[in-house]
Amino acid sequence: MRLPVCTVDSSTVIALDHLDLLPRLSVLFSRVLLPKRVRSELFSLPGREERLGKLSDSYGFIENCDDYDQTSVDILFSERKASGLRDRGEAEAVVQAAEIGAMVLIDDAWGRILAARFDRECHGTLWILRKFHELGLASAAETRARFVSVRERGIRLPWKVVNEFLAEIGESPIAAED
Amino acid sequence: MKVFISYGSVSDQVTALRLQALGAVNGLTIYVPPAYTRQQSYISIDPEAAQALRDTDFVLGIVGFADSTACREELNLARVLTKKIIVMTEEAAAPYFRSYFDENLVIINSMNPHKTELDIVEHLKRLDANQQANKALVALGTLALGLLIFALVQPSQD
Repeated sequence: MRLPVCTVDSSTVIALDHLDLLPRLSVLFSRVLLPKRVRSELFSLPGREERLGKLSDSYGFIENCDDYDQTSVDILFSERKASGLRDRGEAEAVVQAAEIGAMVLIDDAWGRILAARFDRECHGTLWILRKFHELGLASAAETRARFVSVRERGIRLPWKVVNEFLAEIGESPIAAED
Repeated sequence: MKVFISYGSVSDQVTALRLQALGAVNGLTIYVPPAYTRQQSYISIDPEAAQALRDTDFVLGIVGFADSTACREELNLARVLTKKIIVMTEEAAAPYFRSYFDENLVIINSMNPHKTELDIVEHLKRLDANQQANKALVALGTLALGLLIFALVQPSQD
């Protein structure tokens, strides 16, 4: 059985890098593709640009990929720009995934809507942490600690769903004071 | 226990990274050198990798698809540092490693994985590690075998 291929948006890369879990994506995916705009978003992060800008140098299964229909990205991006937001990385991740039949890793709500429009299987940080727990790579307590750490970092996740998952695995919900 | 995985090619790094994830569950801290060190132009040991090698208790070499200068250099340094070593390799890449690591070499036989598994256990017995470390290493070796066979029998990427 071949592991799936995915494209990834910067929001998910930032969360996983914060948890030092990017190399662990090799357990779930045979290839992780980083679109150009996502790379430039990562490269512009102060203090992290050196490490995140060299992901594909460090990990062979994380690949830079620029070979996708820029016109489709432009059209999607213009819709988004009209609402005053700048999420070209998400548009690139979805268009690239659609072209090669890959899954999309994205945490942002608009990116997920976009992925659904392109009929792409789409997951985020919550799904990845859940998978690691299901595969026995992280205990329930460790999984909860990771969610707390993500929250402390100010990364937005669907916390209601996170707490439902934590209840499933016998952990207490994450409260505002966590 | 600290383990250093020296892998042959960039394609073998995925196996090493999966072992790193699985090893962590078994209490092993596993260092995997970065992929850029497996480029042909890279002819010496990465300084960070060299330090990790010095700090390590056990070195696992995994050469499934091809070997590389960096991999050979790392394994040779491990030998000089008298680290405990096992090198797991496909038959095609075995001749080089046989001349330097004969006692520590396990040839991966995808047609007979059980024999390979027994070889791993035999090699680990000779390493004289304590019982708990030995258990973790047997688990690691067996996982490595499974992952290597899994990687080698997969169709090539399009």
